[in-house]
Amino acid sequence: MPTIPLPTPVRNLFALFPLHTYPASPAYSAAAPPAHPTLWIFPPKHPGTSLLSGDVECVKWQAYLALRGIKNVGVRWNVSPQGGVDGCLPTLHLPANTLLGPRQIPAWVDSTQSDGDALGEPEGYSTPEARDESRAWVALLEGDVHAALVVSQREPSLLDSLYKLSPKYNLAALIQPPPAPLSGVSTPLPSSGINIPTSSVSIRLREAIDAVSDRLGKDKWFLGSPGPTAVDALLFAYIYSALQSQDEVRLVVERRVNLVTWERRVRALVEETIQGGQRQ
Amino acid sequence: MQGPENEPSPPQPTLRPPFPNTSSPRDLEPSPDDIDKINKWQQERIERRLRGDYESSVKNLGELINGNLTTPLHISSVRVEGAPRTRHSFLSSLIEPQLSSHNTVETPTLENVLHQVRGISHTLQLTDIFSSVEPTIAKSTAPLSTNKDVDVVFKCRERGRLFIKSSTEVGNGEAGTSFTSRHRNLFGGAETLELSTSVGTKTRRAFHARLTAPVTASLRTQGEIRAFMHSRDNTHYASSKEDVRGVKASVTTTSILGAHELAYEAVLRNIGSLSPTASVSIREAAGTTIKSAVSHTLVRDTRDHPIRGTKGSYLKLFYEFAGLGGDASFLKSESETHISRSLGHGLTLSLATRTGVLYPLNGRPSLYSDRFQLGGPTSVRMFQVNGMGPKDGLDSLGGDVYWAAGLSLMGNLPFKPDWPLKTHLFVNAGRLDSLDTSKPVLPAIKACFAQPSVTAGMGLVFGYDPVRVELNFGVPIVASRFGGWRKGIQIGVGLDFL
Repeated sequence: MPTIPLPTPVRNLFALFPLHTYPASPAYSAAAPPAHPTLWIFPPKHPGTSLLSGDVECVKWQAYLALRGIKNVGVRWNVSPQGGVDGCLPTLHLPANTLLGPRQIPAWVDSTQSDGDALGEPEGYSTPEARDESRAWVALLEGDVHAALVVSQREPSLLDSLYKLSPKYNLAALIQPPPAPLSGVSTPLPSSGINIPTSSVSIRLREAIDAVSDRLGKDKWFLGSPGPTAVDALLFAYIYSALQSQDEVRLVVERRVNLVTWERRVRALVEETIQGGQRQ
Repeated sequence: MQGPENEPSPPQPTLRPPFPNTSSPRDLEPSPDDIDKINKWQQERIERRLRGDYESSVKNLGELINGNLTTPLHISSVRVEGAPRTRHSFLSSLIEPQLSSHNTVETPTLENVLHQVRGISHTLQLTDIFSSVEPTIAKSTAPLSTNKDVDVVFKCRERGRLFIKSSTEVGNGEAGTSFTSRHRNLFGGAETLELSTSVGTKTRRAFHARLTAPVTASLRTQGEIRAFMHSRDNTHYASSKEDVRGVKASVTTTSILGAHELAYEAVLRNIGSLSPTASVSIREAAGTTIKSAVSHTLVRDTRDHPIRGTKGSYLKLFYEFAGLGGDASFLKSESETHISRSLGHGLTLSLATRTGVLYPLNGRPSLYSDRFQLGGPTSVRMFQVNGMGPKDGLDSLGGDVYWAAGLSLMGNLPFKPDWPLKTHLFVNAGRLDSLDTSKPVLPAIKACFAQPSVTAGMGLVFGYDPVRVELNFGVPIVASRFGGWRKGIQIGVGLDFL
């Protein structure tokens, strides 16, 4: 907004004030920058045994940082998702007192790693074709599998929603084709709610898990990559979260032995790395 | 014998116009040439006559009553007419204590009856449900009544039951519109239900529903249940928005100390909608917190005018204990005083102070929503709104202890002493700090007083009761670094100023 410039005499007069300044008021309530990078996540389901979050999005980035070899990353789960970058979690808090949203984390990881640790082209995959194929698997996991996980989660009660931090996802945006509203098309009232096609979601989950299991086979890393890639972190997050759920989603995954074995091996790697970080 | 027709007739005066004016003013009547003056004089003479008649009637009535004060008289019944929407039981609860208070007299007299009528009339007017209350005393119509029994009849007129108001306000960088409806005498017992909703630029949305009802027959104690919700845009000083929803139950009464309010409040606060540049401290404060607190407020206001008072003073004390469940756990105390005196020649000197201490309990740090904020045109002038105290980047984090004082000399505009626009010189001082609860509190409070921020300036004040508008020019004299001060012109609109 344009401002009216002050006449020089007035500016000179104002420059005299204040005649005396004290040091700034000490801010005991101000947040201190962390000693190590700290990931703000949703609370773990079992904080005593595992620091992996109860939210699949947070697990993705915990696994991503661990599989990229970033050590000493602390976690804290006492910050509301509204305080995260773009109003969601996870958020990475750096010792320089800067905050990174999920989209900025890969670039930060790349900047902190030496050339030897950095992912080689094509993004750590064995071939460019595998990199392109990974995009399709990402879409499958973030679509059908994610929708099944969200549907399987119990809607928190009003009291729980006040006291417990739990992620909220727009289910209508995850399900393809978009679900119909609960109200009929001829009603004069505004449409509200969505009619969740649970059977369709369940069938798509089975098909997706079968496809992932077949593609993984007995490989060490998904798509036969020589080392862990971003899609491995993604796959681990969904398989781990599915095995933590208490209903059909878990059974669908448990039927695939290779997935369970792979998840157990990767979980050991991830937890070994993140247990070293501080928790708050 | 001669008939009368033969007598000579007396001489008749001869009249020849134009006639001379022979009248002499006996009642200071003006010249007949000016018809306006004549009309005014006539009007005044009528009013004088009526006033004289009224005064003589009052005098006669007074003499009659005074001469019969000891006459034995007894109230046989009390009737309230014109109150169809008021519960009989409620009226009985108001009237019966007044009657029973004089039952101890062995032989009631006219004086006792008049006292009772006056007391009942006063109580009925206190209910605020009648626009007029006219008592009359008439001979009792009861079959078994004696000459000493009278009926007291109150002819009342109930006020309108529903009051609806909508308004639009613009000022102090904020614009808003509001809609208020008030339902008087809702259940026939002087209950009032008020519903209000508003939208604005800073207070984005606000709603409250308030039900008040008398608790005691004297109507000095009122109970209130209130549900409220508002959403404030704090982006300009805290990079966030705050939604507040809660319920409050309170009892208000008066004593020789002033007006008391004892209240319980359960509030759900949510800090959200953060700006991309929000500091880490504000991000940590984001989310929902619950406060469950009891509080006591004492207000004693004996001023003759809130802005240019010449006598009396204003005192407000507020104490709050939070920790009956919820996230907030603290003891809070606030005080506010104001005194002003006339110096003559249209000059008024006023001094106002505000203090506050918030002490977190159970080892928990104080929450952002509970902390004090200081600074702004209605607070310490020449500081940005809530711009004082601890900061994280550009965000004001609020503090746990504060004080502020303002000295103001107000005078008339030159050559325009009757205008509501006044001039004033002001000096403001204050400071807001956070408490480190791991250290003793008293040294921290002393340190807070030892390093005050001081501002001074002059300006114009427009008082439009109860709102006050100020246009000030001033500078900070002493301030804390990064203190959020302003230099130059500042505009303030509000009800309470320092």
